Amino acid sequence: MAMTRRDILRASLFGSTVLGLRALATGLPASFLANPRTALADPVCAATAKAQFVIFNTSGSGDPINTNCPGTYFGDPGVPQGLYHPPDASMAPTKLQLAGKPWTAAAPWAQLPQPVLDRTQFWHIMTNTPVHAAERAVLELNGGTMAKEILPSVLAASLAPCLGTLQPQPIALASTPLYYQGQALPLVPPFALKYLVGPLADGLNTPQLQALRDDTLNKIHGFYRTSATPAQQQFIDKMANTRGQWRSIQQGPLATLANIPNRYSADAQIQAAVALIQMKLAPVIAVDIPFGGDNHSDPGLATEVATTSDTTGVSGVGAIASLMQQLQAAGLADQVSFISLNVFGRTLATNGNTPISDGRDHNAYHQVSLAIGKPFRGGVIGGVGPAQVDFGAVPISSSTGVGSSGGDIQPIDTLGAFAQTMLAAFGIDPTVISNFPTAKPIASVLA
Amino acid sequence: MRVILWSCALAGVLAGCYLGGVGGDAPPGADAGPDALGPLPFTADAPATYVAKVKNILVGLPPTDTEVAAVAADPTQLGVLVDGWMKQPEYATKMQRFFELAFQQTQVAPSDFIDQTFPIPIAPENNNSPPGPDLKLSQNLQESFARTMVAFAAQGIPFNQAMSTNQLMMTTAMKAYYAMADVFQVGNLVGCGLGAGSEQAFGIANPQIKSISVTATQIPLSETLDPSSPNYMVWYNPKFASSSQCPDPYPIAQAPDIGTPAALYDLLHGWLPGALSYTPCAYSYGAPWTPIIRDTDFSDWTMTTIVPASDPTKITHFYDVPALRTATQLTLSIPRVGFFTTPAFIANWPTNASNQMRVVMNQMFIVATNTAVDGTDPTMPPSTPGLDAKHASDPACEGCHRILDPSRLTLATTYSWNFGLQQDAKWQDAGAGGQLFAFQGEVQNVSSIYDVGKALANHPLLASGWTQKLCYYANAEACVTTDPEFERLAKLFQSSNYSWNALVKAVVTSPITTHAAPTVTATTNGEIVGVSRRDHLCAMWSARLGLANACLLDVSAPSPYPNNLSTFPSVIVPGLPSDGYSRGSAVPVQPNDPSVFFTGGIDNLCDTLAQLLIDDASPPPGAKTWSSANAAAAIPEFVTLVMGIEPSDARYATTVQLLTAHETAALAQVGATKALQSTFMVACVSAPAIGMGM
Repeated sequence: MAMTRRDILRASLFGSTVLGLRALATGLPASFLANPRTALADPVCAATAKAQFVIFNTSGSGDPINTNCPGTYFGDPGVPQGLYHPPDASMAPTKLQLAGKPWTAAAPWAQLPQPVLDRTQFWHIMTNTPVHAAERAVLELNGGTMAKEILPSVLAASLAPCLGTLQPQPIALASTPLYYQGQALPLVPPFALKYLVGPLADGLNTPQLQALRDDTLNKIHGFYRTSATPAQQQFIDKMANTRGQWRSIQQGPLATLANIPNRYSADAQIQAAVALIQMKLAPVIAVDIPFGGDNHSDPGLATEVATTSDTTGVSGVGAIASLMQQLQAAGLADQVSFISLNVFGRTLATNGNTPISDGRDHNAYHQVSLAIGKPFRGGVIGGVGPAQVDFGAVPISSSTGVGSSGGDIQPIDTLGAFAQTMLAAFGIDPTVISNFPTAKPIASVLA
Repeated sequence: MRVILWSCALAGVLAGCYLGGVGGDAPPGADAGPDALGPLPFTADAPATYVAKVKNILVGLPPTDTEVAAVAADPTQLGVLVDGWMKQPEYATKMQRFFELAFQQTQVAPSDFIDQTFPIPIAPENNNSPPGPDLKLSQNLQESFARTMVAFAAQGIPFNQAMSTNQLMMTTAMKAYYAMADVFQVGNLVGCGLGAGSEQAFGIANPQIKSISVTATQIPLSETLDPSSPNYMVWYNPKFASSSQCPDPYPIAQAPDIGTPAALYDLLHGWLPGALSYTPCAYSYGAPWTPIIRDTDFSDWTMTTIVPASDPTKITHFYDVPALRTATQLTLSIPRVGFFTTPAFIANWPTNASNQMRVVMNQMFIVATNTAVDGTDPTMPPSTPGLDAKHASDPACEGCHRILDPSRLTLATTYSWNFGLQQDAKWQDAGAGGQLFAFQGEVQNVSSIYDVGKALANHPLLASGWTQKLCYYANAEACVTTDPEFERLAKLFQSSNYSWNALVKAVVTSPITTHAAPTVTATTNGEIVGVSRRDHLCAMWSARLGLANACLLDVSAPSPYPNNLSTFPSVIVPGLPSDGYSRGSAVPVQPNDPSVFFTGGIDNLCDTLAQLLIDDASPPPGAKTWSSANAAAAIPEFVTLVMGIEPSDARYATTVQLLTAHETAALAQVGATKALQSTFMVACVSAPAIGMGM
């Protein structure tokens, strides 16, 4: 019987009969070599039943997600007058239902399938910064996470052991730099994945020759390790870890990666994210879906309109719809959640010295985060009220999720409440996030 | 330590016995804890390690036995070696790439320049194989300032002049572009409201031009450029096909007309003006023809001084290409000062009517001082000219606007949002009440963009800022700014009158880089041994393997790979960790752990290199190649050249033996070529080959 590539690997790099040898040669614990998929992750899984893969949408541009979504149209519960929406017909105010409750939003939102809307949440929260470069601080919840870990990595570290992913680190497909335990993570262009994840299909990659190379490499590294400094040993170990991980990647879905278009855009990122989740490479995949970008100067809000209402899958609600469709087709709709958190939102009524109809400024006081997935009951969490020269997030009731001046979660703590609720949704102890005096998870909004 | 261990090492490895690490009997993995546990205890690196690291940083080449021995005998010899390495051409290559990134002149494509001369592209598009003039000029524009700084360093010109110089390394093609942009200025709005008015600027500078014609009849260029000739402004272009409706010569633009400079610029690059496409005047593409701006005009780098035009009729003529080829001076109306007015920097950081130069100013601060405006600068200027009171009334925004608004005012009064001259009277007058530079404790009155350049050049944070950038470059991590060794380096830079080479030498010979002795930085952060990031890795392969443009980072240069291999590096390289920068951040993104993706990408790149360099019947010129017919000679070179392990290193013999064993075992599976290629791959992906600090 011909040996498969996996057979070769099992008999060589990770083969049980030579595990001891490999461990000794590389200096790696045998437990890792026996099971590299889980050995590096947090060994404790506290929430198998609730664990989800997460596609984390984030951007330092401060896209106008917050400007035309449910919770910003006068006439809906708690929404004040004066919020500006572009008059373009493609963005016409449209009624929609979120888990049985009526809301109004720009037309593109209403085009999401009802089952998706029923598990889509719009969190009106405050990130408390108007500075682009503060994106990392926002992802660190402005000091709310332990050891300055960013939220995607907090989620990833806890979810990895439950999901059995190859690596615990998130994968960054967009331009936002991510960090995991203080280490910067590589920015991975979606189109490059086909040659980053799989070996070239040539005569140098027969299973037997690969196994032979891995064996020689292990011997070389084991040898170099004997005379290495601790830092060099650590590097050698990491190389061996990642090589083992790379070799254990399921080869089947690699064909999907080959079809990813040769660009950085959101449609390519989404296609890549779904494939990477199918391959169980990482628990969290970061993407960037544009909704109009840093649109200070946007005459007629044309960019905001076009980007939000695009239906080709490269931006806006259309990209989210495409993602949901792809997850459904892959049978992953109930295993994957979509979350968004941007550095800040945009102004809703003012634009400095120019009309709001021609652009939107940074808004430190209002940003809308999305949460879409099985754990979430559709709805609007929090709301909008006057803040400084424009509008901002209002307090939120921790028992109902409704925004009003009487809410017990103050605007400054809404970011923390959002994060804690996400943790709770995935069965992660919300107390890993601290430093928000009035923040607390809002259990009632979870499905 | 290696000498003690090596004699039993091979036997031990082959037998599977663990030989013990530096620390003695510690169990495997016990001394290499995860990052989350904090920095590892300091262990001094051996000369072989840091000589290899420093030489790789400076020139990308492996150390020699002699060099390691010299430093082992006398560590002060490292400085002597560094002096020699800094004279090698590879040092200039590495510094050029460092400067391209550090001065934020990269990460732009030809289309990103369009706002500055809208709607004229930097050069007509072409297909990318071979690279067209748009790609070549875009590459020129990204390299120009870095080449300037390399030349400054070689001449001993103080580094801080980067902020205020009016000199630039330029090619002829660049000179034509700069001069064209000077008479085709775009105002505050793209597409309309051309602030200076192209027809006015061009017409004022060129009153003698009444019309421009094209002919298929070959006439000397000298006549075309001679105002006294009857053929003045009659341009030879064999692609033009005359007809009854389009007599030859055919007038294609009348002056003053907005299309005149555009038509002229197109002609220089061999294109017939686009307007002809909409007339009955068909034209053919015909046989190959050399345009006025030819291939060599993209590579004739010359130090050029840009002189402010005191008379708008004396602007350098962009269409007089023969004169531009020998010109060492351009007379331009748009002030070009330091790194921050290059078209590449501007393309990187465009502004608009709302942003009003704030993003440009912030990136200028970041480049010059490695410090961003983030609302924490306690500087309180005595006045705040240019303050956007409406924005600043918001407490969340006040801290940034208080600093950015006054400092960017001079930019806004000088330049339009698309970097023509500012023609909006409101903005021209906005600085009449006084202009101010205020940043990180430095407050001074300024009256011109040249003053802003000088303020940056003299800023107290410049020395520490650029020392820190070298820390990132060498160690993939920030130095601790309170580290006395870091402070010494920054002071040395300042006291050397900003000698760049003195700073580089000091940083790479410092224990901050060598880890030959403990420093506060090392004990705080731990020693970083990480992957060679993209620019180090690519320079290393280029230098060691004789492969110019090994990673295809220069999109305008030829690929060393044949068609069947070139796809792989072009797709993989963008996925390698680089020293890229992002908006508003003073900290480069520097992943240095060997991720799954790095592992896969490197494996496939080494696979590609193996196919290119071993038994290839037509390898690229100058490339280091090997033959499987002589594997015994090739394998030791894999160890020295690819892995950087010199023969006197205690690890050398064992490494050769392990690779030889691999080649022998591979021969049982595949032919000789694949066996040696596989052996090369092992060397190429090994920790010594791709680790910085191994």
